[in-house]
Amino acid sequence: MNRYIIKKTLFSILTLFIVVTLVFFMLRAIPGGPFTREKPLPESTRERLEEAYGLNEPLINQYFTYMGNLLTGDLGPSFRKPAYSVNELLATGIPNTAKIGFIAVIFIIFLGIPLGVVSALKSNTAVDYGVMIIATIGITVPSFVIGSLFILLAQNVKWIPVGGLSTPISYVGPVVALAGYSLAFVARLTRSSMLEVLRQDYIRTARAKGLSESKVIFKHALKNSLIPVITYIGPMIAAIMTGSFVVEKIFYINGIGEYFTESIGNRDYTLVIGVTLFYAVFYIIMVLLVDIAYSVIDPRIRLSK
Amino acid sequence: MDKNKFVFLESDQKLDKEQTRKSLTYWHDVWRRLKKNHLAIVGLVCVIIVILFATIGPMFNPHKYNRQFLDYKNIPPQLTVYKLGDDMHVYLSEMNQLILVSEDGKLLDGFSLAEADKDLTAKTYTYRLFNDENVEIAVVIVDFSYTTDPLKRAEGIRYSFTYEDVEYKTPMDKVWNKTFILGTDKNGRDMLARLMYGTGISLVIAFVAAVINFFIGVIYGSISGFFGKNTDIIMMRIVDIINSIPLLLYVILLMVVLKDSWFEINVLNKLFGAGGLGTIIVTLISVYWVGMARLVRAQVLSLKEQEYVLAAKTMGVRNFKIIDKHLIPNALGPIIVTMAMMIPTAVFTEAFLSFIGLGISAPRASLGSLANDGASFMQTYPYQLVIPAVTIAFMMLAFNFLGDGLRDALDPRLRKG
Repeated sequence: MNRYIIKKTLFSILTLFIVVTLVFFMLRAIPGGPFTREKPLPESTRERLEEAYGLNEPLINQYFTYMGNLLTGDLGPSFRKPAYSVNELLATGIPNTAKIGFIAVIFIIFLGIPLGVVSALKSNTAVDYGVMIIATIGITVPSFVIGSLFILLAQNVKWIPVGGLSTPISYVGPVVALAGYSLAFVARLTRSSMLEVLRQDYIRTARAKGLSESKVIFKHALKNSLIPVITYIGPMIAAIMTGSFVVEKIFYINGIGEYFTESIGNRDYTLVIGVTLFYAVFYIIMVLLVDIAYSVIDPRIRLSK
Repeated sequence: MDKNKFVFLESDQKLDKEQTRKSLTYWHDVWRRLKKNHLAIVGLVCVIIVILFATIGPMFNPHKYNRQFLDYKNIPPQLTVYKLGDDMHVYLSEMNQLILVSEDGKLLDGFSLAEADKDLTAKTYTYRLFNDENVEIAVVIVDFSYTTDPLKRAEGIRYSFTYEDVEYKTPMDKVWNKTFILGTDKNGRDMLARLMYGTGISLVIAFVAAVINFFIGVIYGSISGFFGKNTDIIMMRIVDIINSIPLLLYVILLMVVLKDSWFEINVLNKLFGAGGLGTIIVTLISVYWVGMARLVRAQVLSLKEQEYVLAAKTMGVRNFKIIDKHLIPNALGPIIVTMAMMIPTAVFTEAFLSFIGLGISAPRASLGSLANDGASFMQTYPYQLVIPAVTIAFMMLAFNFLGDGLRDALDPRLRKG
């Protein structure tokens, strides 16, 4: 198992390296640069700026300089926000993004899974239909619509702030918009997986040998039905972090998603790579965690191959 | 024994040819199972309705999606009509445009408002209606001081109309807009026409992306799965790398790279027309084929161990023929389900991209760009957001029901619930 994790980690680092390289050269391929403005800067100013940031050197030299700095953990200066380094910008943006993302993930796991379980246990009753109708709506309504409607509500109700994260209530909108789709999906997935497991022979055996119903459900059924759910949840957590672009835009939250869209438009090369790297690292760690979680839940899955 | 005592039976009376049922092919069987699933049939019908709405709908709508009616900007589907005098009906829009309407809600003409007729101190606007010969035929004074004047504020209305020296304060009725059934947008374009057009564009994006994905994913996945060894390792590592860049990030980056590039101008715009349609399709394809490739590879990995593949190999059938004739047809069930599910995902992603301003650009429209336009004015004109949003939700629902039903019908082992 340790060997597997080491192998995976090494490969993840290689992936990250390729991702950074890819993004680096993709960005340079976009027309325009960080110092191209609608009203052009004087030629001499632009040249001095490019010299200061090392943009006048050959591309390959820039690449090696950047990669060298990256190895020491330095993401470089932001081209468009000269007073800040990318590290500082990420440090201000990540907490806000992480806060909503974290709350959303908590909601998804601790509301989505129980809803799915209840719905499966009471399958084909009013409870089941109710949960599934809500879940279907959650899957079909895009997050930006939920967000926009919430803002509309906030503008008409005094005690709900329209944007930002100033009060606890202001978290409701972003979290609902962010969690809606995945929560509904997890509920549906848990339900179908649970129903599948409940039909298995070992559940009948467990009941036949006289185990209490709660033990049958929690120890035998739930544990086994979580495998597909976990497969989904891992990448989902990473996706929720990325999915925050729109939510941050709608709710005026100074998060990392806002930096990302803004920095691409501004050709702020270093900031784009910084944000991409953050997402990619996050995603890869999540996938790795899912792999480990498998083996904890299901000993049949060996991490050997 | 006398031969003549025997009578030959007619051929249809013969017992040895026992009547057999027509044997069902796989696809007959799928259709039979699909028909039994009511939800899936509802989904199928809704999908057909959506497609008809987008394709033949515009033929029944007198307005074109890009025609601007500058007199009728931001007109909602429901109008609050005031009756002035004996037979004149008017509607005052949120943008303070005064419009002559018929009693049942047809928009007839716009009143003109000259700068000189705006009395900003008394807060009254004088609107004038001219006929074709430019002769003034009606004058209406609108008094907006009801929201500001402390004496008048108690009445709780926002404005009043004065026509031929009589003041009218209460609206006659709310009537449905007969000229623009779903209203108009900020440029005075018919919402219904734009909705039909936008639905069409969203569908085109989804279908083209799904079909091309199908080909790339199937070819890539089956080669990787069938040949195995180093081919498989390298091909799957490429997939892993694409997978570890979060999808949306990749999409946004790619959209920006493609925007105004040589490829977009010379290839995509010639194929799909200007406005970013081709770019979105390329972006969606370059991301979503990965899922299909993984699925096909997994299927091929298990199918290639089957005896019939071994049999084909021993008979000397060429590799590509085995993939083409044996492996892909047997993996078709899950492939079709993935494709069916890819369509709503593509619609969703496209809507999302257009919403953050990276999608289709005006005057073309997609459901996402319509929702984006609507979202900026949702306080004053909520209908402009609600209409495309409801359409997206309806489409998603329809495709999801159909996709779920197809999954159950194509592979009963996967039946959920």
